[in-house]
Amino acid sequence: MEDPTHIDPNAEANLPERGSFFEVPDGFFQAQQEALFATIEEEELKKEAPLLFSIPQKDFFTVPEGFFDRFPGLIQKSLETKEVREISLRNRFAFSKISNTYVGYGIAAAVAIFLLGIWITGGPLQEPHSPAPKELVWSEIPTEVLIEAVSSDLSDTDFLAEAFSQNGIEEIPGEIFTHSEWEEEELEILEELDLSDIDLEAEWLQEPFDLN
Amino acid sequence: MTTTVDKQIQENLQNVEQQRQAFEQLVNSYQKVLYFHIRRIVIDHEDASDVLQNTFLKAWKNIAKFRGDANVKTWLYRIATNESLSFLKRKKGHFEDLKDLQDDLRHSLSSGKYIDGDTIQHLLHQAILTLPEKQRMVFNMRYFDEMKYEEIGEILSLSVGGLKANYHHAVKKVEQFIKNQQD
Repeated sequence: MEDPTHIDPNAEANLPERGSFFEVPDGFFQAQQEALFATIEEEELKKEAPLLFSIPQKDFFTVPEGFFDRFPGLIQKSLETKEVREISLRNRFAFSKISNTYVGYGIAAAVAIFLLGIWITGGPLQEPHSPAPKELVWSEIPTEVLIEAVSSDLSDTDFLAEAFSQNGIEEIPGEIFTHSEWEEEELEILEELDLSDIDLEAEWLQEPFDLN
Repeated sequence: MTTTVDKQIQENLQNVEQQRQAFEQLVNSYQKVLYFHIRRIVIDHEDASDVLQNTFLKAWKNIAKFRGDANVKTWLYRIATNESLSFLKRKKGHFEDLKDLQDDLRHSLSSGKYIDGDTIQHLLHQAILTLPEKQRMVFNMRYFDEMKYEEIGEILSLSVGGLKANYHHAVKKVEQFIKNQQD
């Protein structure tokens, strides 16, 4: 029979490490710390703006009765009736080929404007059934650039040239050019364009076209 | 934050057979929050309704691009924000300058159509309209939607530090505006 008073000299070594019985999720303490600082910051802010933070949060904007009951049906109908087309990745590829050749954001922006110009004025990239260019351009532009665009009083061309270069966008997304499928022939034209022969300043930047 | 429902929707969106049903769930789950997010930007109800439709149609068109590990909420908010801003950009094209666009938004606010608020609420929304566009976006998402800076950062592609600064400035400006109007 085992001696109940016997103490195993290795018992302590066999115990799990102290504190390891309870575990916390990864990043728990950092999250706690961040949440605490966020609360402190929020409280400080509330002290700085007592009027604002005393305003009761209530629904200021309202909708017609039943709007949210009808809305999902409206979307369903749109999906069934409208042709939903995928954006071709070939567009992005085509542009990245060009932008790799011409290093520098300014040139990339100028190229973008040039291509848009060709497209808008009904050049080789124009597709008869594609949606209005103005819509494509502004809805596909990165959010941070779009925010600036709404606030800017510059012409669209000047704005785009400046915004792309200032935001350090190396590769302008192909989606801003078109939602339509580009034909092989059109892509060839794009790739063969010798931009060094074109005076972009004279062609486009001096005479801004209005996308709207 | 990704909820369990969101996770399920995200998983189903990746499955071609369940995509349509998952998208319907997405519309049901997000139509209200996105509508009010858009409405705070474009102000007018009809405009918000159009932009909301475009947001979901664009989400559907781009569903193949949606990555399973991405956050569905920030993905949708980003599309909605872009659609709202591009709507404003197009609208601005019909006016002489930015001031006219701001006047138009203020007019929509004071017209009272589908608006239900007392004087202080009106003052608050007038104050928000005086903010620069970036501050207005950040203020709306933080103050009304109580979004985390990290989430707002994902939507607007801004750093947390920059967002905090923008929100702080916005709060002080709104407070000052309300104070001036009340004095």
